[in-house]
Amino acid sequence: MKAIERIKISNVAAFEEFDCALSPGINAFIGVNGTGKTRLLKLLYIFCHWVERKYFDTGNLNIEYLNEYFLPSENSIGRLVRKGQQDAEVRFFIDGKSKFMSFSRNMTQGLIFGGNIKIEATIKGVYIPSKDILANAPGFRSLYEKREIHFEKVFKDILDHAYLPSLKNIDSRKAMLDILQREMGGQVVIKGEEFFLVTDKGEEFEFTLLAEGMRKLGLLWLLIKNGSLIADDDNTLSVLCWDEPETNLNPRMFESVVDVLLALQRQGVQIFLATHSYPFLKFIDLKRNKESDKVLFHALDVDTSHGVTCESTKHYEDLAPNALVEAYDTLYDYEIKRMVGRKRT
Amino acid sequence: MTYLEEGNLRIAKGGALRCYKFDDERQTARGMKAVDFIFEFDDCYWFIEFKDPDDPRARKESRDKFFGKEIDIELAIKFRDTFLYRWAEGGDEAQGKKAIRYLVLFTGLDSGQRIRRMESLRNKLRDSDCCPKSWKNILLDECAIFDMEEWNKRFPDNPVSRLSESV
Repeated sequence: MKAIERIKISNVAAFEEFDCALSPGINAFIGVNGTGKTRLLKLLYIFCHWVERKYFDTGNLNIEYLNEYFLPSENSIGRLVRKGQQDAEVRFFIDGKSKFMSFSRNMTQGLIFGGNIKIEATIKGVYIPSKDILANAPGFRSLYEKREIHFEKVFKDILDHAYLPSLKNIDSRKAMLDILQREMGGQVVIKGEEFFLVTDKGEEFEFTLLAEGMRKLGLLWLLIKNGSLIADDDNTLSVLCWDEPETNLNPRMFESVVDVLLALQRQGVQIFLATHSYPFLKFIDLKRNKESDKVLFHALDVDTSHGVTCESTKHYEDLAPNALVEAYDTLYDYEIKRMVGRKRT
Repeated sequence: MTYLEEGNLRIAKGGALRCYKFDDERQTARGMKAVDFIFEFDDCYWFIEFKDPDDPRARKESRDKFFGKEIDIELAIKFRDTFLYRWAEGGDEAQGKKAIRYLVLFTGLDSGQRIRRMESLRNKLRDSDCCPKSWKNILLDECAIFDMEEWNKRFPDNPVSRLSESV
Protein backbone atom coordinates (compact mmCIF):
# COMPACT_ATOMS: atom_id res chain seq x y z
CA MET A 1 0.00 0.00 0.00
CA LYS A 2 1.40 3.36 -1.01
CA ALA A 3 1.30 6.44 1.20
CA ILE A 4 2.48 10.04 1.26
CA GLU A 5 5.84 9.54 2.89
CA ARG A 6 7.00 13.07 3.54
CA ILE A 7 6.16 16.73 3.03
CA LYS A 8 8.67 19.56 2.73
CA ILE A 9 7.51 23.17 2.74
CA SER A 10 9.76 26.11 1.98
CA ASN A 11 8.72 29.70 2.60
CA VAL A 12 4.96 29.26 2.76
CA ALA A 13 3.51 31.63 5.40
CA ALA A 14 4.80 30.48 8.83
CA PHE A 15 6.75 27.59 7.25
CA GLU A 16 10.37 28.40 6.39
CA GLU A 17 12.18 25.09 5.98
CA PHE A 18 9.69 22.50 7.18
CA ASP A 19 10.32 18.80 6.74
CA CYS A 20 8.05 16.15 8.18
CA ALA A 21 8.11 12.37 7.70
CA LEU A 22 4.58 10.96 7.74
CA SER A 23 2.98 7.76 8.94
CA PRO A 24 1.08 5.67 6.40
CA GLY A 25 -1.62 5.40 9.10
CA ILE A 26 -2.84 8.16 11.42
CA ASN A 27 -0.94 11.46 11.65
CA ALA A 28 -2.15 13.70 14.48
CA PHE A 29 -0.89 17.28 14.39
CA ILE A 30 -1.04 19.38 17.53
CA GLY A 31 0.18 22.90 18.26
CA VAL A 32 -1.10 26.24 19.48
CA ASN A 33 -3.03 28.53 17.12
CA GLY A 34 -0.91 29.88 14.28
CA THR A 35 1.42 26.90 13.93
CA GLY A 36 0.09 26.09 10.44
CA LYS A 37 -1.93 22.93 11.14
CA THR A 38 -4.88 23.77 8.86
CA ARG A 39 -2.57 25.03 6.11
CA LEU A 40 -0.58 21.83 6.27
CA LEU A 41 -3.73 19.70 6.02
CA LYS A 42 -4.95 21.77 3.07
CA LEU A 43 -1.65 21.42 1.22
CA LEU A 44 -1.72 17.65 1.71
CA TYR A 45 -5.29 17.55 0.46
CA ILE A 46 -4.57 19.76 -2.55
CA PHE A 47 -1.75 17.40 -3.49
CA CYS A 48 -4.12 14.41 -3.35
CA HIS A 49 -6.75 16.29 -5.31
CA TRP A 50 -4.27 17.24 -8.03
CA VAL A 51 -2.90 13.71 -8.32
CA GLU A 52 -6.45 12.38 -8.56
CA ARG A 53 -7.22 14.84 -11.35
CA LYS A 54 -3.83 14.25 -12.99
CA TYR A 55 -3.03 17.99 -12.94
CA PHE A 56 0.64 17.20 -12.35
CA ASP A 57 0.80 14.97 -15.43
CA THR A 58 -0.52 17.64 -17.77
CA GLY A 59 1.77 20.30 -16.28
CA ASN A 60 -1.16 22.72 -16.26
CA LEU A 61 -1.08 23.84 -12.70
CA ASN A 62 -3.20 26.92 -12.92
CA ILE A 63 -2.70 29.38 -10.10
CA GLU A 64 -6.46 29.36 -9.64
CA TYR A 65 -6.23 25.81 -8.34
CA LEU A 66 -4.40 27.13 -5.27
CA ASN A 67 -6.30 30.39 -4.90
CA GLU A 68 -9.64 28.67 -4.59
CA TYR A 69 -8.46 26.78 -1.51
CA PHE A 70 -6.76 29.67 0.29
CA LEU A 71 -8.71 32.72 -0.96
CA PRO A 72 -5.86 35.23 -0.62
CA SER A 73 -6.92 38.84 -1.02
CA GLU A 74 -7.17 39.92 -4.68
CA ASN A 75 -6.41 36.33 -5.66
CA SER A 76 -2.75 37.03 -5.08
CA ILE A 77 -1.20 33.69 -4.15
CA GLY A 78 2.07 35.57 -3.55
CA ARG A 79 0.55 36.60 -0.21
CA LEU A 80 1.20 33.05 0.96
CA VAL A 81 4.96 33.46 0.42
CA ARG A 82 6.82 33.92 3.70
CA LYS A 83 7.68 37.51 4.60
CA GLY A 84 11.05 38.57 3.22
CA GLN A 85 11.19 35.63 0.78
CA GLN A 86 10.50 35.55 -2.98
CA ASP A 87 9.75 31.93 -3.84
CA ALA A 88 7.79 29.23 -2.10
CA GLU A 89 7.82 25.50 -2.73
CA VAL A 90 5.92 22.53 -1.41
CA ARG A 91 7.27 19.07 -2.12
CA PHE A 92 5.45 15.79 -1.56
CA PHE A 93 7.11 12.40 -1.48
CA ILE A 94 5.23 9.28 -2.50
CA ASP A 95 6.42 5.91 -3.65
CA GLY A 96 10.04 7.10 -3.41
CA LYS A 97 9.42 9.99 -5.84
CA SER A 98 8.60 13.61 -5.25
CA LYS A 99 6.20 16.10 -6.78
CA PHE A 100 6.35 19.78 -6.07
CA MET A 101 4.49 23.02 -6.60
CA SER A 102 6.21 26.35 -6.46
CA PHE A 103 5.05 29.93 -6.75
CA SER A 104 6.45 33.42 -6.27
CA ARG A 105 5.64 36.54 -4.32
CA ASN A 106 4.81 38.60 -7.42
CA MET A 107 2.54 36.04 -9.09
CA THR A 108 -1.02 37.09 -9.64
CA GLN A 109 -1.97 34.84 -12.55
CA GLY A 110 -0.78 32.09 -14.87
CA LEU A 111 0.72 28.71 -14.16
CA ILE A 112 2.68 27.62 -11.16
CA PHE A 113 5.47 25.13 -11.55
CA GLY A 114 5.02 21.50 -10.75
CA GLY A 115 7.19 18.40 -10.72
CA ASN A 116 6.75 16.23 -13.78
CA ILE A 117 7.70 12.83 -12.41
CA LYS A 118 4.87 10.46 -13.05
CA ILE A 119 3.33 8.92 -9.97
CA GLU A 120 1.83 5.53 -10.73
CA ALA A 121 -0.59 5.57 -7.81
CA THR A 122 -3.98 7.19 -7.80
CA ILE A 123 -5.08 9.09 -4.74
CA LYS A 124 -8.59 9.80 -3.58
CA GLY A 125 -8.48 12.57 -1.05
CA VAL A 126 -11.17 13.87 1.29
CA TYR A 127 -10.91 17.04 3.37
CA ILE A 128 -13.41 17.57 6.18
CA PRO A 129 -13.39 21.25 7.24
CA SER A 130 -13.89 22.15 10.90
CA LYS A 131 -17.15 23.94 10.05
CA ASP A 132 -20.21 22.03 8.85
CA ILE A 133 -21.66 22.75 5.40
CA LEU A 134 -24.16 19.90 5.08
CA ALA A 135 -26.96 21.86 6.77
CA ASN A 136 -26.48 24.63 4.20
CA ALA A 137 -26.03 22.27 1.28
CA PRO A 138 -29.21 22.79 -0.81
CA GLY A 139 -28.29 25.10 -3.67
CA PHE A 140 -24.71 25.61 -2.45
CA ARG A 141 -22.91 23.83 -5.27
CA SER A 142 -24.78 25.58 -8.09
CA LEU A 143 -24.31 28.90 -6.31
CA TYR A 144 -20.58 28.14 -6.01
CA GLU A 145 -20.30 27.28 -9.73
CA LYS A 146 -22.19 30.36 -11.00
CA ARG A 147 -21.34 33.16 -8.59
CA GLU A 148 -18.32 34.73 -6.95
CA ILE A 149 -18.89 33.69 -3.35
CA HIS A 150 -16.17 33.82 -0.76
CA PHE A 151 -16.14 30.17 0.28
CA GLU A 152 -13.06 27.99 0.13
CA LYS A 153 -13.37 25.15 -2.36
CA VAL A 154 -13.06 22.54 0.39
CA PHE A 155 -16.75 23.16 1.15
CA LYS A 156 -17.79 22.43 -2.42
CA ASP A 157 -15.50 19.38 -2.59
CA ILE A 158 -16.86 17.82 0.60
CA LEU A 159 -20.41 18.21 -0.70
CA ASP A 160 -19.37 16.52 -3.97
CA HIS A 161 -18.23 13.58 -1.85
CA ALA A 162 -21.24 13.59 0.45
CA TYR A 163 -23.74 13.46 -2.43
CA LEU A 164 -22.20 10.36 -4.02
CA PRO A 165 -24.60 7.40 -4.08
CA SER A 166 -23.94 4.45 -1.79
CA LEU A 167 -21.74 1.55 -2.80
CA LYS A 168 -23.58 -1.65 -3.63
CA ASN A 169 -21.39 -3.83 -1.45
CA ILE A 170 -20.69 -2.42 2.00
CA ASP A 171 -19.89 -5.64 3.87
CA SER A 172 -16.31 -4.67 4.74
CA ARG A 173 -17.52 -1.28 6.01
CA LYS A 174 -20.43 -2.49 8.08
CA ALA A 175 -18.66 -2.56 11.45
CA MET A 176 -17.62 1.09 11.09
CA LEU A 177 -21.05 2.16 9.88
CA ASP A 178 -22.66 0.36 12.83
CA ILE A 179 -20.51 2.28 15.34
CA LEU A 180 -21.64 5.60 13.84
CA GLN A 181 -25.27 4.51 13.50
CA ARG A 182 -25.31 3.60 17.18
CA GLU A 183 -24.08 7.08 18.09
CA MET A 184 -26.52 8.82 15.74
CA GLY A 185 -29.44 6.53 16.54
CA GLY A 186 -30.22 6.23 12.86
CA GLN A 187 -29.00 6.64 9.28
CA VAL A 188 -28.57 9.53 6.86
CA VAL A 189 -30.73 9.82 3.75
CA ILE A 190 -30.51 12.41 0.99
CA LYS A 191 -33.64 13.82 -0.61
CA GLY A 192 -32.97 16.19 -3.48
CA GLU A 193 -30.11 18.20 -2.05
CA GLU A 194 -31.23 17.97 1.57
CA PHE A 195 -29.69 15.70 4.21
CA PHE A 196 -31.89 14.01 6.82
CA LEU A 197 -31.27 11.76 9.78
CA VAL A 198 -33.82 8.98 9.89
CA THR A 199 -33.84 7.57 13.41
CA ASP A 200 -34.27 3.92 14.31
CA LYS A 201 -37.84 4.83 15.32
CA GLY A 202 -38.52 6.16 11.85
CA GLU A 203 -38.49 9.88 12.72
CA GLU A 204 -36.92 12.25 10.18
CA PHE A 205 -34.79 15.24 11.11
CA GLU A 206 -33.46 17.62 8.49
CA PHE A 207 -29.81 18.55 9.13
CA THR A 208 -30.68 22.18 9.88
CA LEU A 209 -32.54 20.93 12.97
CA LEU A 210 -29.80 18.53 14.01
CA ALA A 211 -26.92 19.18 16.42
CA GLU A 212 -23.72 20.01 14.56
CA GLY A 213 -21.89 17.10 16.18
CA MET A 214 -24.50 14.70 14.78
CA ARG A 215 -24.07 16.19 11.31
CA LYS A 216 -20.38 15.49 11.60
CA LEU A 217 -20.98 11.82 12.42
CA GLY A 218 -23.49 11.72 9.57
CA LEU A 219 -20.92 13.05 7.14
CA LEU A 220 -18.33 10.46 8.17
CA TRP A 221 -20.98 7.74 7.81
CA LEU A 222 -21.79 8.92 4.27
CA LEU A 223 -18.12 9.08 3.25
CA ILE A 224 -17.57 5.49 4.38
CA LYS A 225 -20.81 4.20 2.87
CA ASN A 226 -20.35 5.82 -0.53
CA GLY A 227 -16.72 4.80 -0.96
CA SER A 228 -15.15 8.28 -0.71
CA LEU A 229 -12.97 6.66 1.94
CA ILE A 230 -11.07 3.34 1.66
CA ALA A 231 -9.37 2.39 -1.59
CA ASP A 232 -10.82 -0.23 -3.93
CA ASP A 233 -7.47 -1.52 -5.17
CA ASP A 234 -3.81 -1.67 -4.20
CA ASN A 235 -2.83 1.04 -6.64
CA THR A 236 -5.10 3.62 -5.04
CA LEU A 237 -4.34 5.52 -1.87
CA SER A 238 -7.25 6.80 0.21
CA VAL A 239 -6.45 9.94 2.23
CA LEU A 240 -8.56 11.67 4.86
CA CYS A 241 -7.62 15.16 6.06
CA TRP A 242 -9.79 16.20 9.01
CA ASP A 243 -9.45 19.61 10.62
CA GLU A 244 -10.45 19.58 14.30
CA PRO A 245 -12.60 16.44 14.33
CA GLU A 246 -13.51 17.22 17.94
CA THR A 247 -15.28 20.52 17.15
CA ASN A 248 -18.94 20.42 18.21
CA LEU A 249 -18.68 16.79 19.27
CA ASN A 250 -19.49 15.92 22.86
CA PRO A 251 -16.38 14.22 24.30
CA ARG A 252 -18.49 11.11 24.97
CA MET A 253 -18.55 10.55 21.20
CA PHE A 254 -14.78 10.80 20.83
CA GLU A 255 -14.24 7.13 21.55
CA SER A 256 -16.55 6.01 18.73
CA VAL A 257 -14.99 8.45 16.25
CA VAL A 258 -11.50 7.28 17.23
CA ASP A 259 -12.60 3.63 16.86
CA VAL A 260 -13.74 4.43 13.32
CA LEU A 261 -10.52 6.29 12.49
CA LEU A 262 -8.41 3.38 13.76
CA ALA A 263 -10.53 0.98 11.69
CA LEU A 264 -10.10 3.17 8.59
CA GLN A 265 -6.37 3.18 9.17
CA ARG A 266 -6.41 -0.63 9.38
CA GLN A 267 -8.06 -0.65 5.96
CA GLY A 268 -5.20 1.40 4.52
CA VAL A 269 -6.58 4.94 4.77
CA GLN A 270 -3.87 7.52 5.44
CA ILE A 271 -5.25 10.03 7.91
CA PHE A 272 -4.16 13.57 8.77
CA LEU A 273 -5.79 15.22 11.78
CA ALA A 274 -5.30 18.60 13.38
CA THR A 275 -6.62 18.68 16.90
CA HIS A 276 -6.79 20.87 20.01
CA SER A 277 -8.40 18.15 22.09
CA TYR A 278 -6.50 16.31 24.79
CA PRO A 279 -9.15 13.58 25.30
CA PHE A 280 -9.44 12.99 21.54
CA LEU A 281 -5.71 12.46 21.23
CA LYS A 282 -5.62 10.39 24.40
CA PHE A 283 -8.28 8.05 22.98
CA ILE A 284 -6.08 7.54 19.92
CA ASP A 285 -3.14 6.79 22.18
CA LEU A 286 -4.98 4.41 24.49
CA LYS A 287 -7.19 2.58 22.00
CA ARG A 288 -4.64 1.85 19.30
CA ASN A 289 -2.88 -1.45 19.14
CA LYS A 290 0.67 -0.37 19.92
CA GLU A 291 2.17 -3.19 17.86
CA SER A 292 0.09 -3.11 14.71
CA ASP A 293 -1.63 0.29 14.38
CA LYS A 294 0.39 2.96 12.63
CA VAL A 295 0.14 6.25 14.49
CA LEU A 296 2.46 9.24 14.51
CA PHE A 297 2.03 12.31 16.72
CA HIS A 298 3.45 15.58 15.39
CA ALA A 299 4.00 18.58 17.68
CA LEU A 300 4.18 21.83 15.71
CA ASP A 301 5.79 24.90 17.20
CA VAL A 302 6.78 28.30 15.86
CA ASP A 303 10.29 29.59 16.18
CA THR A 304 10.29 33.28 15.20
CA SER A 305 13.57 33.01 13.32
CA HIS A 306 13.14 29.58 11.70
CA GLY A 307 9.39 29.31 11.26
CA VAL A 308 7.35 26.22 12.06
CA THR A 309 9.20 23.25 13.51
CA CYS A 310 7.94 19.71 13.94
CA GLU A 311 8.82 17.00 16.45
CA SER A 312 7.29 13.64 15.59
CA THR A 313 6.95 10.63 17.84
CA LYS A 314 5.20 7.27 17.91
CA HIS A 315 4.69 7.62 21.65
CA TYR A 316 2.16 10.12 22.96
CA GLU A 317 4.05 10.57 26.21
CA ASP A 318 7.14 11.78 24.29
CA LEU A 319 5.20 14.59 22.55
CA ALA A 320 6.97 17.88 23.15
CA PRO A 321 5.90 20.57 23.26
CA ASN A 322 2.46 19.17 24.08
CA ALA A 323 0.21 22.22 23.83
CA LEU A 324 -2.81 20.14 24.83
CA VAL A 325 -1.56 18.82 28.14
CA GLU A 326 0.11 22.12 29.03
CA ALA A 327 -3.33 23.60 29.60
CA TYR A 328 -4.13 20.73 31.97
CA ASP A 329 -0.82 21.28 33.79
CA THR A 330 -1.88 24.88 34.40
CA LEU A 331 -5.33 23.82 35.58
CA TYR A 332 -3.75 21.23 37.86
CA ASP A 333 -1.47 23.88 39.35
CA TYR A 334 -4.49 26.08 40.12
CA GLU A 335 -6.31 23.11 41.68
CA ILE A 336 -3.39 22.22 43.91
CA LYS A 337 -2.79 25.83 44.91
CA ARG A 338 -6.43 26.19 45.85
CA MET A 339 -6.55 22.97 47.81
CA VAL A 340 -3.20 22.80 49.53
CA GLY A 341 -2.40 26.47 49.91
CA ARG A 342 -5.72 27.38 51.51
CA LYS A 343 -5.94 28.40 55.15
CA ARG A 344 -8.51 26.62 57.24
CA THR A 345 -11.83 28.45 57.42
CA MET B 1 16.59 11.49 58.61
CA THR B 2 13.65 9.22 59.45
CA TYR B 3 11.83 7.50 56.63
CA LEU B 4 8.65 5.45 56.34
CA GLU B 5 8.32 2.85 53.61
CA GLU B 6 5.49 1.40 51.57
CA GLY B 7 6.08 -0.91 48.62
CA ASN B 8 8.94 0.47 46.57
CA LEU B 9 8.57 4.02 47.93
CA ARG B 10 9.73 5.85 51.00
CA ILE B 11 8.82 9.23 52.48
CA ALA B 12 10.91 11.44 54.76
CA LYS B 13 9.53 12.58 58.11
CA GLY B 14 10.94 16.09 57.56
CA GLY B 15 9.46 18.67 59.90
CA ALA B 16 6.51 16.52 61.02
CA LEU B 17 5.90 16.39 64.80
CA ARG B 18 4.92 12.75 64.49
CA CYS B 19 4.46 10.26 61.71
CA TYR B 20 3.56 6.60 61.59
CA LYS B 21 2.55 3.85 59.28
CA PHE B 22 -1.10 3.40 60.10
CA ASP B 23 -1.43 -0.28 59.21
CA ASP B 24 1.54 -1.33 61.36
CA GLU B 25 0.31 0.18 64.60
CA ARG B 26 -3.30 -0.98 64.61
CA GLN B 27 -5.24 -4.09 65.22
CA THR B 28 -7.40 -5.09 62.30
CA ALA B 29 -11.01 -3.98 62.37
CA ARG B 30 -12.78 -6.37 60.06
CA GLY B 31 -13.93 -4.85 56.78
CA MET B 32 -12.21 -1.52 57.37
CA LYS B 33 -9.57 -0.21 55.02
CA ALA B 34 -6.70 2.10 55.92
CA VAL B 35 -4.41 4.74 54.42
CA ASP B 36 -0.66 4.12 54.46
CA PHE B 37 0.58 6.91 56.76
CA ILE B 38 -0.53 9.69 59.10
CA PHE B 39 1.73 12.72 59.61
CA GLU B 40 1.08 15.40 62.22
CA PHE B 41 2.28 19.00 61.77
CA ASP B 42 1.76 22.17 63.86
CA ASP B 43 -1.37 23.15 62.02
CA CYS B 44 -2.61 20.03 60.23
CA TYR B 45 -2.66 16.28 59.75
CA TRP B 46 -1.79 14.54 56.52
CA PHE B 47 -3.46 11.25 55.72
CA ILE B 48 -1.25 9.77 53.00
CA GLU B 49 -1.89 6.99 50.50
CA PHE B 50 0.57 5.72 47.88
CA LYS B 51 -0.56 4.20 44.58
CA ASP B 52 2.37 3.22 42.45
CA PRO B 53 1.52 1.60 39.11
CA ASP B 54 4.84 2.97 37.80
CA ASP B 55 6.78 0.71 40.16
CA PRO B 56 9.24 -1.01 37.82
CA ARG B 57 8.95 -4.12 39.99
CA ALA B 58 5.16 -4.35 39.54
CA ARG B 59 3.77 -6.95 37.14
CA LYS B 60 1.45 -5.82 34.37
CA GLU B 61 -1.55 -7.68 35.81
CA SER B 62 -1.14 -6.00 39.17
CA ARG B 63 -0.83 -2.61 37.44
CA ASP B 64 -4.25 -2.96 35.84
CA LYS B 65 -5.95 -2.81 39.24
CA PHE B 66 -4.90 0.83 39.58
CA PHE B 67 -7.14 1.93 36.74
CA GLY B 68 -10.91 2.00 36.41
CA LYS B 69 -13.70 3.59 38.40
CA GLU B 70 -13.23 1.37 41.47
CA ILE B 71 -9.96 3.05 42.38
CA ASP B 72 -11.68 6.35 43.26
CA ILE B 73 -14.06 4.51 45.58
CA GLU B 74 -11.18 2.60 47.16
CA LEU B 75 -9.25 5.83 47.82
CA ALA B 76 -12.32 7.43 49.40
CA ILE B 77 -13.07 4.40 51.58
CA LYS B 78 -9.46 4.22 52.80
CA PHE B 79 -9.64 7.77 54.08
CA ARG B 80 -13.14 7.41 55.51
CA ASP B 81 -12.33 4.20 57.41
CA THR B 82 -9.05 5.55 58.79
CA PHE B 83 -10.77 8.69 60.04
CA LEU B 84 -13.58 6.68 61.66
CA TYR B 85 -11.06 4.31 63.23
CA ARG B 86 -9.20 7.22 64.79
CA TRP B 87 -12.48 8.79 65.92
CA ALA B 88 -13.48 5.53 67.61
CA GLU B 89 -10.08 5.39 69.28
CA GLY B 90 -10.54 8.93 70.54
CA GLY B 91 -7.56 10.04 68.47
CA ASP B 92 -6.57 13.71 68.17
CA GLU B 93 -7.03 13.67 64.40
CA ALA B 94 -10.78 13.29 64.79
CA GLN B 95 -11.27 16.09 67.34
CA GLY B 96 -11.45 18.90 64.79
CA LYS B 97 -8.47 20.80 66.27
CA LYS B 98 -6.33 20.82 63.17
CA ALA B 99 -7.00 20.75 59.45
CA ILE B 100 -7.00 17.34 57.79
CA ARG B 101 -5.49 16.86 54.35
CA TYR B 102 -5.75 13.67 52.38
CA LEU B 103 -2.75 13.50 50.05
CA VAL B 104 -2.51 10.74 47.47
CA LEU B 105 0.69 10.05 45.60
CA PHE B 106 -0.38 8.35 42.37
CA THR B 107 2.32 7.60 39.81
CA GLY B 108 1.72 7.08 36.10
CA LEU B 109 -1.05 9.67 35.57
CA ASP B 110 -0.71 12.85 33.52
CA SER B 111 -2.08 16.16 34.76
CA GLY B 112 -5.42 15.72 32.96
CA GLN B 113 -5.99 12.34 34.56
CA ARG B 114 -4.93 13.63 37.99
CA ILE B 115 -7.45 16.47 37.77
CA ARG B 116 -10.24 14.07 36.88
CA ARG B 117 -9.28 11.61 39.65
CA MET B 118 -9.09 14.48 42.13
CA GLU B 119 -12.56 15.77 41.21
CA SER B 120 -13.96 12.28 41.52
CA LEU B 121 -12.26 11.66 44.89
CA ARG B 122 -13.48 14.97 46.28
CA ASN B 123 -16.99 14.14 45.14
CA LYS B 124 -16.84 10.69 46.76
CA LEU B 125 -15.68 12.20 50.07
CA ARG B 126 -18.35 14.88 50.23
CA ASP B 127 -21.58 13.56 48.86
CA SER B 128 -21.83 10.01 47.61
CA ASP B 129 -22.61 6.48 48.66
CA CYS B 130 -19.20 6.51 50.44
CA CYS B 131 -20.01 9.59 52.52
CA PRO B 132 -23.76 10.28 52.32
CA LYS B 133 -25.31 13.72 52.14
CA SER B 134 -26.93 13.28 55.57
CA TRP B 135 -23.49 13.38 57.28
CA LYS B 136 -23.44 16.87 58.73
CA ASN B 137 -19.79 16.77 59.80
CA ILE B 138 -17.27 17.10 57.00
CA LEU B 139 -14.44 14.62 57.47
CA LEU B 140 -11.61 16.53 55.84
CA ASP B 141 -10.46 19.94 54.67
CA GLU B 142 -8.58 19.12 51.47
CA CYS B 143 -7.68 16.25 49.23
CA ALA B 144 -5.21 16.23 46.35
CA ILE B 145 -3.45 13.81 44.03
CA PHE B 146 0.20 14.20 43.04
CA ASP B 147 2.76 12.41 40.96
CA MET B 148 6.22 12.05 42.45
CA GLU B 149 7.72 15.10 40.73
CA GLU B 150 4.84 17.32 41.82
CA TRP B 151 4.95 15.94 45.38
CA ASN B 152 8.64 16.66 45.74
CA LYS B 153 8.17 20.16 44.34
CA ARG B 154 5.34 20.96 46.76
CA PHE B 155 6.74 19.21 49.81
CA PRO B 156 10.54 19.49 49.68
CA ASP B 157 10.77 18.71 53.44
CA ASN B 158 9.02 15.39 52.96
CA PRO B 159 10.47 14.03 49.73
CA VAL B 160 9.38 10.70 48.30
CA SER B 161 11.85 8.44 46.53
CA ARG B 162 12.08 4.91 45.17
CA LEU B 163 13.75 2.33 47.36
CA SER B 164 15.05 0.49 44.30
CA GLU B 165 16.80 3.67 43.13
CA SER B 166 18.22 4.84 46.46
CA VAL B 167 21.85 4.13 47.16
